[in-house]
Amino acid sequence: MADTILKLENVSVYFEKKGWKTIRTEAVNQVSFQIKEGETVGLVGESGCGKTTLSKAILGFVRHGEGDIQLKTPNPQMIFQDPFSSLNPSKKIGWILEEPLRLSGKYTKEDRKNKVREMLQKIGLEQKYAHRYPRELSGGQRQRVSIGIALLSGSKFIIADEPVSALDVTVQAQILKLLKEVQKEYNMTILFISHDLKVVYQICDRVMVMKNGRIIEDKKTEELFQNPEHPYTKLLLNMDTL
Amino acid sequence: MKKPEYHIVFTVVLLGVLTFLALMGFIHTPYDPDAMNGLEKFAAPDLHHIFGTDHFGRDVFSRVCKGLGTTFFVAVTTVMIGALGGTVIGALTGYFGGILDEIIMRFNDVVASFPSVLLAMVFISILGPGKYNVIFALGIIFIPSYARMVRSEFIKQKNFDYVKSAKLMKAGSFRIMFLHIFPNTTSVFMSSLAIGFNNAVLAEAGMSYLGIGVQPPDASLGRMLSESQAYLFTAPWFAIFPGIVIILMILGFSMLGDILQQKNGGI
Repeated sequence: MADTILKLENVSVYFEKKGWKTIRTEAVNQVSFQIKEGETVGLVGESGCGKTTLSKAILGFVRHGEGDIQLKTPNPQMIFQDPFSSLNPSKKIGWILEEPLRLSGKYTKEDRKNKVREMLQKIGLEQKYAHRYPRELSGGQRQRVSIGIALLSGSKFIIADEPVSALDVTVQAQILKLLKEVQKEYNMTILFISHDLKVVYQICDRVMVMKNGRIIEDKKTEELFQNPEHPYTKLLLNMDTL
Repeated sequence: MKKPEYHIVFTVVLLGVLTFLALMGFIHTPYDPDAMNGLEKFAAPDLHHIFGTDHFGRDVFSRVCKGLGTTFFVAVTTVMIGALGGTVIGALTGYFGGILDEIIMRFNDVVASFPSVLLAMVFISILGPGKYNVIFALGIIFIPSYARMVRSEFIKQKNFDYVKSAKLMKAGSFRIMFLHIFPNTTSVFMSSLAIGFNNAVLAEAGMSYLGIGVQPPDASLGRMLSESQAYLFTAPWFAIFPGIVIILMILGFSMLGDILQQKNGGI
């Protein structure tokens, strides 16, 4: 049986606006789930339901109010929604890909260059892109680079926050294919956040449906699509087939 | 065919000529810039003295060359002190925020709310006049504006996803600040360097004009303007030539700033 890589117990995230009367918004409310190694788990829900906040809480970018988050992998990575702000605009692609290797301090300069070269090939970019700036790449190519960064940092767990929602459909398919390949090859665990059920259906083993900060349904993908229980899930599925 | 960029050519030529003049001031001038000559007071420009002579019979051209060097040196070092201090303060306060940010920025506001020449006069009255004290005083006065500019850039940049990505790679705060974020502020930074340089030239000229800047016998462009005002109608060349050189210097650096902003801003 595979090990649990991420375990959340009754996690809540609040945003407080302090004034003469403190206004408290509950972005994430009593969420519990586990993700096992090698799983690809989808997290779906409408915008504003707390998906991104939850992912930020897992990575430690926002502080969670209550509950317990156990992340049993040393270096989680994230693939961001907006491929235009996720890569440093003043650095070349080669430099960006090399950075996690430099930070690890384990490799010589020669090793790093070789690894970057291999990685470019793996993520389906020609070698010449190492000498280009992010602004010279398309959205899809940038997401490829993001995946490359995650792999080069030796991550076993990726949070993909709407990685394809900014891309057009054909490019979406290519990026999803790459993610799937990478997931298999490295036995990667992926938390895939999306509002698009079609995309989730293509890539995920399991799907969690989130509404108003709560997870209302958590099932195997096939099961969820054939046999949705919660009325909200049914609504989502119906909207998507229309 | 690429359109030739005349404004770049013009800027390069202008700054080239000024640099040449300033270098001449350091190496060799046609006359000794400090040598007085009682027989040739207020000589109009001619082939011997192409910019004429002043009230002591000193060659204005030689003095302009030397003064240009002084002014340039003061301006560059002033901007360097201001930019260096401002970058460090702005980066730290912008990136970390919090209570330290509040305290330092309020202190910044206090410094910035004084008229800069008044503040410079306070410094000079404590330190005494002279070239290096002027540099020190102006440098300190320039720090707040750079700090503010760098801080606002850092606040903007630190929320971008590439910074989060760097944090996930476990890059240290200083590495993120100066290796990841700082290069993205260069377009704003460079143009403000050029503007800051111009302000420094004007501030130095202004202070020398008030008599609290560069002291005689050192020549500086502002000092020459101040000396020339009594003879504005009898020897206009004494005022006109240093004035023109100040104008050209500021024009050149303004254009340089614009060009740098254009070249770097293409994100």
